[in-house]
Amino acid sequence: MKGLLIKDFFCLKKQLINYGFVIVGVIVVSVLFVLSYNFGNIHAQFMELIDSGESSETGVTMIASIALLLFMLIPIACTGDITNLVTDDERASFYHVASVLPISINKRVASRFLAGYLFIAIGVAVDLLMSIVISSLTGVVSFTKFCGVIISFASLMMIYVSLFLLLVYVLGKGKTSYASVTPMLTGVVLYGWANFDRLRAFLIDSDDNAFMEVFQRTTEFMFFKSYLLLIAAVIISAGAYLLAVGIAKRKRGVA
Amino acid sequence: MNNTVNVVTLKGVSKDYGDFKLDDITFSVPEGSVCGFIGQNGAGKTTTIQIILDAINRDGGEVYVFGKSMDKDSAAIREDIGVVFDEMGFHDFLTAAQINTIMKNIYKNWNQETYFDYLKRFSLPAKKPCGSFSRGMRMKLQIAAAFSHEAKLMIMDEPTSGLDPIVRNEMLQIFREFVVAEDHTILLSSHITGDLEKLADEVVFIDGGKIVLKGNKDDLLEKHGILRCKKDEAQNIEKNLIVSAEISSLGAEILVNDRKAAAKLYPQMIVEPAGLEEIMIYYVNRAKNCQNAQKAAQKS
Repeated sequence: MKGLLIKDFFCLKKQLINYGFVIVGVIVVSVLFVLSYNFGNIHAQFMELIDSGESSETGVTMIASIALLLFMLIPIACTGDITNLVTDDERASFYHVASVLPISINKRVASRFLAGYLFIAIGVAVDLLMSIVISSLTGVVSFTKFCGVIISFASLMMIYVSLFLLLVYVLGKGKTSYASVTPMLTGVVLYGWANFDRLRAFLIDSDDNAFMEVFQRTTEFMFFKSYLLLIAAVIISAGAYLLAVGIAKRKRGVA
Repeated sequence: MNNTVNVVTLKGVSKDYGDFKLDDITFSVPEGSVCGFIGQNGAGKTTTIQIILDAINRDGGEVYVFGKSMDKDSAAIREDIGVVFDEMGFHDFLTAAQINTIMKNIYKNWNQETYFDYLKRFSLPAKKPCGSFSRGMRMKLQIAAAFSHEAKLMIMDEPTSGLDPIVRNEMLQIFREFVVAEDHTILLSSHITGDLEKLADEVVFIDGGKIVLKGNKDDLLEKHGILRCKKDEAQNIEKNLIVSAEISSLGAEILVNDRKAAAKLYPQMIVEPAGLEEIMIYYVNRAKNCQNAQKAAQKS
């Protein structure tokens, strides 16, 4: 299994330059954003909005929080996207090689899941570094709250990776794009459904407060109840792994 | 008493894909032999090999490798099997050195010294991505990997197809060395009968998902022969001797399954030894003729 993980890391290495650019870019931009929010143009702009009564102090803090949380999402989303791993294996017909190695199906499937989670862990490490820097520069979001956000994003990515891999086994070779899009669409639909009333008020009745309310609820959840997402991620991951093993055994030659 | 130890044994193996079926595949590969698995493209060679390796599920039958059932712990059994496919299967961006790092963490008996010796022998660069390798180099890389974990059984699926004669010859030399060195065994699938004629001790011939012929290669070559006669003389040949015949305006060429008996019975006719390729072609033709006859009978 270790050998397969090493192989996956060689695949990741190929993308390392891209990841490096994205991660360094996000770190630089987020630090610049914080500095500007405290002392620069963004600060001036926000003060203008408050002075003119177009927004309140809470409002501008929320806008700044949205930006910072989005910055946090990028590294995890970037490293956690293991679509390339699967397509690389398909392109090389590595499945033929893997199926004749002295590794059981359980371990082969486990290595796939583990690789996904380890890649997410890289994003988490980058996020932790970013949150330490950002929280030391500004009080918009505290380090504890950042941790909640990181756990939430990591949990969501774990769920995405698990469902993606499960679908790879369910749909078989050559359907990676469907396997990749389906969990994302399902997530968006579920999120939209959970906030249907407020999103409708925002989109149809142009109620700006409704959007703020959705955002506030979401951030509050991430700040203080991220453990729920983590529990869900662990349960979904275990279920997806067991199902994937069953399917891989039944559809031997796919795994 | 028969003391032959069989490294691979298949008993009544079947697999149904709907449009293709492997039917009652039964054969054995004795230890220390090179078994040529012959058949045209799509005959079922790769499917059979995948079943032996437990890479795909089978519908029925039993598979034993080194005397152990592949149903029990196929992963552990595969430690002692080297596999070479007709396509490389490694990612284009991987280098031979990186493949070494991967494999030494997979195979317990991985010997990196042997692996790098093979790379040197094959003049393969260790630090160049294998995507830039020619087909011959890719095959050599696969062979280097397959031969570096002290495998006792080598299963190769069309390893020489698409290679030039020089490289093919080099490969065959390596396979010979492998079998001579110890009691190692090779199951080599190919439709290039010339290679098998040079190398194989045993031959298993598959066509349309069924084993049509198996046995010791020398015995099969000894037994079979091509009988050449006039068109009208062909009708007088004993049916039991005929595998299949090709009749043209110039005369008849008949593959007989007992060359000596045919030569004795028809001393006026020419009976020449048949090569594996001819044997394969005539057996395929016989199967086609049988199928056509069955279809015609069903229609009428």
